[in-house]
Amino acid sequence: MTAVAATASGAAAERDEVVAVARELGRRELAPRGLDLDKRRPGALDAAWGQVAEVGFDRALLAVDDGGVGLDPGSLLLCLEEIAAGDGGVAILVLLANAALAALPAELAAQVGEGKRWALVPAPPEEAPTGARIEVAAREDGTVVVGALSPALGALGADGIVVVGRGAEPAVLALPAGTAGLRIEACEPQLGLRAAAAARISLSDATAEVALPPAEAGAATADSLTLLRAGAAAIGRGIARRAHDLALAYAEERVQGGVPIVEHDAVREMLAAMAVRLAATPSPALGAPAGEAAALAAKLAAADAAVATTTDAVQVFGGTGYMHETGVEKLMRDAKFLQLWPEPSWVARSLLVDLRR
Amino acid sequence: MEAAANSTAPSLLEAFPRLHQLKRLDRGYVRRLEELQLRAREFADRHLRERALDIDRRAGEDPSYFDWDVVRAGLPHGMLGLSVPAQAGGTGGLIVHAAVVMEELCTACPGLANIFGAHALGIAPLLIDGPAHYGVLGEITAAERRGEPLLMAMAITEPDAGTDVEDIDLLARARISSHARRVPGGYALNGVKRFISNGSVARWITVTMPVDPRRPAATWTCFLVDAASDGFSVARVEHKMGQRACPAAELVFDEVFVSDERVVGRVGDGAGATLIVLAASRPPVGAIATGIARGAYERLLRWLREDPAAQGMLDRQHVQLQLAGMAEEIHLARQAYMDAATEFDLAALGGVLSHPLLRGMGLVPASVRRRSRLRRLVTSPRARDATARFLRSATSDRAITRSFGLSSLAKARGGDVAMRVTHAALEVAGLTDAPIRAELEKLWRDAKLTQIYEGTNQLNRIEVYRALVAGETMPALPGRDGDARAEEEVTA
Repeated sequence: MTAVAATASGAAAERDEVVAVARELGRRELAPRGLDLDKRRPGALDAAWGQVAEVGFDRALLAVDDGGVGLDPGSLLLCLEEIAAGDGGVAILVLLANAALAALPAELAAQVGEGKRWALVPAPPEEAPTGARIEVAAREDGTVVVGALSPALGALGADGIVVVGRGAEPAVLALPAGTAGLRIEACEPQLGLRAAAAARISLSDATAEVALPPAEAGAATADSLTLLRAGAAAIGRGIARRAHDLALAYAEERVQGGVPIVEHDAVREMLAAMAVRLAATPSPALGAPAGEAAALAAKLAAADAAVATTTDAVQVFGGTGYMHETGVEKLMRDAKFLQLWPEPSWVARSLLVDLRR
Repeated sequence: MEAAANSTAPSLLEAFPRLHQLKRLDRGYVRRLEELQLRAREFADRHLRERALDIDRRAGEDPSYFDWDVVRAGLPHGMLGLSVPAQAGGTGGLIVHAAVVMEELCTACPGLANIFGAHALGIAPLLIDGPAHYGVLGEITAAERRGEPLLMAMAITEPDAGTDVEDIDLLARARISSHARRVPGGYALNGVKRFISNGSVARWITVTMPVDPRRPAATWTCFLVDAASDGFSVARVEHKMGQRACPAAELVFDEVFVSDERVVGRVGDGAGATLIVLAASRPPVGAIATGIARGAYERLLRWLREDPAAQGMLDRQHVQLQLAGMAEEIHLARQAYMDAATEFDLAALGGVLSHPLLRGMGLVPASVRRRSRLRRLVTSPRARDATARFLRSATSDRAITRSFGLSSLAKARGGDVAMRVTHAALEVAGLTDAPIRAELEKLWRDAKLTQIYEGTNQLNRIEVYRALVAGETMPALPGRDGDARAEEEVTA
């Protein structure tokens, strides 16, 4: 065995181990808290985030020397799928926290304490009418930011935000919660992924730490967005997988017409379609995202698969699936909301064509 | 949600261009339908639209929350007496009328609309039992005139039988846990009914149960239950994904006594009656779904036109194509429910309901109808047999089966359209910070139920196959030996 192969084999075993930890986190700690997280019951998020931090997923991408786990992005994506199979909203928070750390220079990222929850806030694309924009101005007393960002997923209750601006003047700005001029307010309760509650962010001459000079910010912004989209793809896959598993189990158990409903062709069709969608959705196991276009395509495919699969799962459950207690309708809401983030699918499709031209 | 009049809402003739022809032949019919559409639209705009999100939020926090004020506001608009025959003080609206009203109400709030829809569903079984229950129907309309809401519900679904109780063949193999036991003077009802819309707020509930649980299909029977009866209780109200303004309750029947007079139709005729009720109720569900889709489309269009944040979006071809697709789907879903409703009203059973014999009952003053001797007469086994004979002479199993097929088609297609249109509208609006996002999210949540209730879309499509493709004839009408047959089954 060559040294390279031995390293690769060792890395694969290590990766499997980390993914197993994520799977346990999703199954044992997050899935049972799903309804509490969805209703944003007091203490539910703190308890879930405590579990996330205990196994280091709050700083998975941070180098070991900087106090992180030193995970590669590909492994994080695999873990996100597992975490999302527990709760999609918490998986979004893990993604945003790691994306925030990844966008910052190492020395700044290392200053974020263990268990702290930062969130990356991407400025909306030009095409999507999600609200006001931000303006960044360099003044003698520092860099100030004016404007609004809404809805910023996962920003409510965050210990700090890292804003990445797109467009002609890219910027990567760090703003700890409590910064003068920074207001983070709750938005209307959102459709899904509620653990990652959206916030309305207003910036009124808020002084920000310029994490990266404009020359480097462009590439960092693109990398951040790629990570978000690849992460969203992994999360979509996790949500779809959970919906499929629940629907299959229920179909084997529920009897109508004298037989388990899995015996009815109408139900089999839905279950088969779920399996096909999962098979056709790019797996994060393929490794680190292969670039911006690949991440966009993966996200589009996974979000569509998640919406269709969770909608079918509710249908397999019938009236029972429409009620909160089974948790299946929550998966459907989570999937639909995911489809709109970080940009709605029609905007993503348009961007994809631009990238392919 | 804004209460302003909706400029994109179509007039009746815009919605159903075929009515231009009918207007030439029967001006009065179309005029009444136009008035009804405007009345429903006014009620929806004034009382439902602006309360919808708030009520949805409250019921989301506490599923038992119920807004009686909205129901009271519907009384002057005749929303509770709409399907009650004129002989019992109502306006005698048929399925076309109910469907047109439901589309209008659902553009504002499907949850609130469903309160009135579930009420009409509760009334439906009574209408095919001749004048036997005009007393209760009269109570509803009298209460409406006094400004007091009296709601109805219908309870079919059980914990172990959802799809099974919606299909006449599956019912034979269903796991039915309810049982109506024969006792002196009537029946003692036992069992649990689940997901019953209006179940926790209705005064009267039409309940289906077998008199012999070993032979549910042959002995399925409908009963009219007073919610104030001993032994009746509401076990819980469900926490639903959408349509939250209308509570879905789990109802427990523990030796609930129902007198022979309150048996609806004849013992053992319940499965066929359920089929007739579903043939009648599915076109309005298609209309509910159409209304949901229209509500999303109209809100999206208004936002695109009026909100500065959406400036320029209407110039995008993608957005134009989405809107065109929505308009197309809504139009076709609407024609499907109108076809189904018209088939029911004019070809299947509507002629029965407006038959001169029944109209004649209107000549008998309510005070006389309430007298016990007359009440006993119209609820006697002989009267029930006469009603059954009358039904058989006025329509046929094939006519009802065909109507059932078209109704199932309209319901399944409508449900899919509601999902597709709300889904597309949400995608176009994206994560906008404007209030429209919460409105579209709600309509999307509301829409999903239309693919599930009144039979899943899968079951509805199987019914389309049987009724329209295979040309099957289902036994919907009461047999010639209704009571005798059921009694024989019980004995066997």
